[in-house]
Amino acid sequence: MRFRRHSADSWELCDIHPLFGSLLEELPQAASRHKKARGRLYPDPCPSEAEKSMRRDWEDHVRPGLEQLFASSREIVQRDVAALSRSGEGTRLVIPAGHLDAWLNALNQARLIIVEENNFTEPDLDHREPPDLATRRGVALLKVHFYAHLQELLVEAVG
Amino acid sequence: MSETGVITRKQTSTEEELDCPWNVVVHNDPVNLMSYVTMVFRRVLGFPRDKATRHMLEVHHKGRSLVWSGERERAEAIVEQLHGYLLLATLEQAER
Repeated sequence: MRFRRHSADSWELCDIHPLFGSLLEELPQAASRHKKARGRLYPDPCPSEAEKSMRRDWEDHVRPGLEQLFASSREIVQRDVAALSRSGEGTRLVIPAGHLDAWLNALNQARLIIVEENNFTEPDLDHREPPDLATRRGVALLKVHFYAHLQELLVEAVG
Repeated sequence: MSETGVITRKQTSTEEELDCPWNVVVHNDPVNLMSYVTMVFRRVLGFPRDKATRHMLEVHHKGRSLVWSGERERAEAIVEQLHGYLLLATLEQAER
């Protein structure tokens, strides 16, 4: 898979392996399974027990904005992924430069969620051996690593 | 006398608020990439690359880094932005 400039205002992922193409298509859905990762996606802003009112205000006024931001990122990625092209030249995906932030956000949501769902620890994530794809846990780890790789490419692109 | 005393206490309370800034602390998590955290520090806090990298490494090695200190309203706005980038950030009132 290669990531390169497609035009002045877009980037292109090309030569995408079919497996990674399916992981790209899965991204918006993977990023929307908030149930098990709610505490990590919407962390407590203040560890002090004395700040109960701040916590209430945060729930009422800040959290809805965050939910909207995360949903909007997923929708942008969903639209981009719907245009994934499979042809004789291989699988490719064009990402408008203005969508890179939404991609970074959706990739992070998905990675955080998959980690929470599978109770992955730091040693699991740092383990350099290829994951066992015969297991659900191994496939989940592959997703975390693939989305991380994509995130690295995008961070480099946005500078 | 008592009225003066009440006023004096209010002033002291306000002074305490001003004297005790709020800290924005970013905590380590195993998921966020080092390059991503550095990018977020540059964007949200306006850090130059080397300062952003230094704070990112502090988070990575020490588990937390105090990235901003000052008035509460601005501190809350920074934490909100950091949460938007899915970083683990908290507000802590500085000790006197």
